[in-house]
Amino acid sequence: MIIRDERERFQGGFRVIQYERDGDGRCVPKLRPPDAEAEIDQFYALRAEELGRLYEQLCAGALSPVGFFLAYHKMSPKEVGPMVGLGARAVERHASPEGFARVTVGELLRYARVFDVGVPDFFSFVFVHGELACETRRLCDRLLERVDVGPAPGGTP
Amino acid sequence: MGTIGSYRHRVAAHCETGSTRNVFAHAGLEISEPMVFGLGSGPAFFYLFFTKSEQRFPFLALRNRPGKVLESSVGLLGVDCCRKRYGGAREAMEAANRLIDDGTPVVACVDMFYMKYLPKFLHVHAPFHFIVLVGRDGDEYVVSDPYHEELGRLAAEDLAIAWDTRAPFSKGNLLAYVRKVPQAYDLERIAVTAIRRTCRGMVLPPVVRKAFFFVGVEGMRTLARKIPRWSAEYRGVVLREGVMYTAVGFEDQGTGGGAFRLMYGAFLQELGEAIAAPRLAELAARMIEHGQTWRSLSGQFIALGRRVPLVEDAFDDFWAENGASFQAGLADLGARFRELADFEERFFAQLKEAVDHLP
Repeated sequence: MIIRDERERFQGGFRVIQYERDGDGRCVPKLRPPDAEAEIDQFYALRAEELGRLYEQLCAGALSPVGFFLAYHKMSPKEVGPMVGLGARAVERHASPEGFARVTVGELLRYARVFDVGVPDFFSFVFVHGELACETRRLCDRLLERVDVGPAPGGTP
Repeated sequence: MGTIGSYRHRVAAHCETGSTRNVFAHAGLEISEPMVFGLGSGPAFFYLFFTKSEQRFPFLALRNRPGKVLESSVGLLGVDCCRKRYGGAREAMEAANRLIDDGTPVVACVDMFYMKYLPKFLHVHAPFHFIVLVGRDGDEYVVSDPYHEELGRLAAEDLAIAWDTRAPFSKGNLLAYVRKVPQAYDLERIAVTAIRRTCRGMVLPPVVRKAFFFVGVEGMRTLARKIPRWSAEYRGVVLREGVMYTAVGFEDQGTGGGAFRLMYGAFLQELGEAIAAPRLAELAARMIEHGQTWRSLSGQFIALGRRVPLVEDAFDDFWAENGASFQAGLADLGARFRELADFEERFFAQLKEAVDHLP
């Protein structure tokens, strides 16, 4: 998983259709920014903090990598179970470091699809400092990952 | 292979109604999104109490079951539409490819989490998101998503996972396409059927209301009772997010504002004019007003939620100083939400009466 110094920011520009009364009393659709637009960047900030907190728990052995992603996506074993073809109890076991030690590669592939990560993301965190361009490509159906790191466009090599 | 040239991509308030409207239009049936929503008997309310957790408020469903609007509007209008669930994404994609290559746009019900062209805050597991596949380009699909102003691009791998999700409430590789649209239809007759269905779903018979305390107007009253208890069940950022995102769900997550009630008001307004029914026009105005009231209440939810600090450690001090006023705020929201429920009970009874006695 790639983690940068600078968190992702919401750039704005997203609009939704909402109905409202016009001057003639007609209820018509209007394209406008969402009501809670101000909260979207805060949401990104909270997510970045959550990521840091969960990483610490992971390193302290309080969570397994599966538990890390479950918590990050705020999903329960009951929700994830059917998506990976396992019972909720099995997912709970995999969420603990002891249980994770017995997870199979096939199960990891299925978890990877649910969390939209590659299998390497369960085992590797890459902290990118400074202005570097970092591009990840998943290979072999998420089993492998290629990470290309280089100067950001316009930066010095 | 590129994009189906004659397809017109348009954004919409809601994914299912927008996708349905767009494919109907492509087939030659021009119909507004509110009309699709109304004929699909869209408005509903479900307080999904069983989805609650320590970290999350329970989900609310503000419309009928995903897929029902497409199914009902197709049925009532007499549209020749094929809807099929496939055993796996590969089969569904092979079928979609044949249709797209033939110039037929394909409706797909997918998990929104994988729609990479949408901003990241929309990457949530919502496995009932309706899009239209309108082209292929190498290993990518061209997507008409009602929540995206331009056509989007989706890798085949992402479509496969999004379609084949086994997430709760998913439609399992549902694919739909229109073969033929009717030349004419009896709008009054089908609208009356649709409206009666909506009224039945919102106001249950008294004898079953206690059992179905989470459905329709009773569901709204159940939520109204729960609101003042939120501060006892949640704290900190979870409380903040829960209060605010309740309102975000009402306004910004594909409802058209006012928890779909504004769009329903637009439907009744359009219908009242189309069939020259002044009583429906009056009821439309009341529903639109109600939708505006709901929007205004949503604003109060957001304002109250914003008061809770973003930093978990600051919550205890915040609560010591502001707990009483915050609690009063929740009590007020609960009371006002109850008023929305009371209105809807009266309204849907009057609406049913109106359609039962159309001249």
